[in-house]
Amino acid sequence: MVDRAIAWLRNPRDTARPRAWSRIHGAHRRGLVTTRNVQEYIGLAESVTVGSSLLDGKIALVTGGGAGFGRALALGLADAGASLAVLGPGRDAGERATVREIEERGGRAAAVVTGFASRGEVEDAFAAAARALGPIDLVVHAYVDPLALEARELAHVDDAIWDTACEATIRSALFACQAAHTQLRVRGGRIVLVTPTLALSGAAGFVAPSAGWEAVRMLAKSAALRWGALGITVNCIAPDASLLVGEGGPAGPPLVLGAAALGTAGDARADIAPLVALLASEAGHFVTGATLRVDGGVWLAG
Amino acid sequence: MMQPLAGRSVVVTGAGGGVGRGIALACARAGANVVIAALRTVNGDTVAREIADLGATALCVGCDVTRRGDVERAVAAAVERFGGLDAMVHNATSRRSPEPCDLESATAALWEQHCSVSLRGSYYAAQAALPQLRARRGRFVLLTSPAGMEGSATLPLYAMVKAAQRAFVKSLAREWGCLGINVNALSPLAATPALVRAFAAHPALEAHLNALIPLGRVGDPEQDIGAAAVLLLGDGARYVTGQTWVVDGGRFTGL
Repeated sequence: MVDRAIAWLRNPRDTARPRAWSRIHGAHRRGLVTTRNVQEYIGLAESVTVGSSLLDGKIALVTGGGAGFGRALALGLADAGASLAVLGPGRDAGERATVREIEERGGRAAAVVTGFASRGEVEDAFAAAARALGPIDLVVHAYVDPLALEARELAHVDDAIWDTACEATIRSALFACQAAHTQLRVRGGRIVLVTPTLALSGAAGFVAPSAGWEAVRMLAKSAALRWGALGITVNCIAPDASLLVGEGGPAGPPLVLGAAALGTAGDARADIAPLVALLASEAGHFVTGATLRVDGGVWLAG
Repeated sequence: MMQPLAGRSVVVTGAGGGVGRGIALACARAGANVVIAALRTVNGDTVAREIADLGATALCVGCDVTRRGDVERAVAAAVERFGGLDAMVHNATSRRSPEPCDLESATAALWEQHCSVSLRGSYYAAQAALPQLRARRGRFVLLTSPAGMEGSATLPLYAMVKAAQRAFVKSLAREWGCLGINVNALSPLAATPALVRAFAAHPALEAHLNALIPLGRVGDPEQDIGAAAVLLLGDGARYVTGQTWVVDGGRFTGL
């Protein structure tokens, strides 16, 4: 196995692909894996991604799963064996595209198109997801309006932008948590909210969204305190914000705060989804109210 | 008497009572001219009279911070009466702030109450104050709370707005640093009227809370919190920005 992976890394064109090849290849490309540590890396890759059963039989719901970061998380959780409810506003039928991609790999998934403007519509969408796939085990709230990721000095923010970039971010997370509570209150389960590290660091040009995400972090802590007795854990994952912008994202000052200790801000599917899967697995049952930075070691202060 | 803020012009929102009143009184004693921006002018006028009795200068302006025009009028009053603005302190919170709520049944309307005063009010205050603060390389201060750092099972919406204000401060400090405007947060633990009422209703509560505080007592809005605000607005803090000053007798040690 290791011999095969090493041979493949040295000469990918003429060598059969080892298992976990996509993950190994991605990590190799970013300089994270060499022929020296490949054995260790294959073990890690296999334990959480390809062919893994970490989330076999679990049902995960991902908001914002029709594009970008949310889609990558949905695909990564499907890689880990979960059935996926993919929720989003229906832009370019992205949710259905995510579902197709999961189904093509032999996974099970359902798309639900919904906005996040009222509790009612979010509750309805979560209920529809549960009807389609079964009782939800994991809710990941990754939805964010792309406008929140555009750099803009506060002096140039108007009331509509403020609402979308800050307050709507908070309201959607509040409604998602409340709808998650409705789904999880009897059986327990996991809630994971996405809060980029710029909520922790602050960033010029991002007053509105950083304020929004910090509110979401405190929503997670408060929900963790309140719903712990129901067997519901609530945590945040904090990626570098550049991951949410994605290709073709809005222009502006770079969101990257500094160099990552691991050399890259990472890849949502390969580097971050496995951690969400771990949180959602039995191994994650005693972690709640936490913010897990998954930024490759950019922001180490808190 | 030392007057570290002599001649400075300061707007304090929510200054009709509690921590806002304490900050306004302390700033006035420190020599500042203070605009008492208060929702109820009957309370604000009382504080302005208290300040006048100290031989200092204050002006009460009716101000609902959920209305942009009101916040702009408070700034304009500072400019008109005191010649400019050196510091904006946004302290006002919803009067429903201390009201416990269950997260799962919290309504959008209750969120709007919390958000419109604390968070949207911060946005209005920053935009309204910017031209004046820029001209004087002034200070912008928001009031936050431990709930905004550790979460709260009983006050989840309050925790959310108070957290949002901390990130607001961090980002705005990075944005306004090049303008010479310092932006900070102050996290007090003070005997506000709501807390004093709670102590009166449940005498054991005061002893319980005091036991959690290394300095053994809940702070006084003027002597303890106001005094720290004067430091934060004064020249001694000119190299402090983007920070949360926790002024709580040592209760919160999470930073």
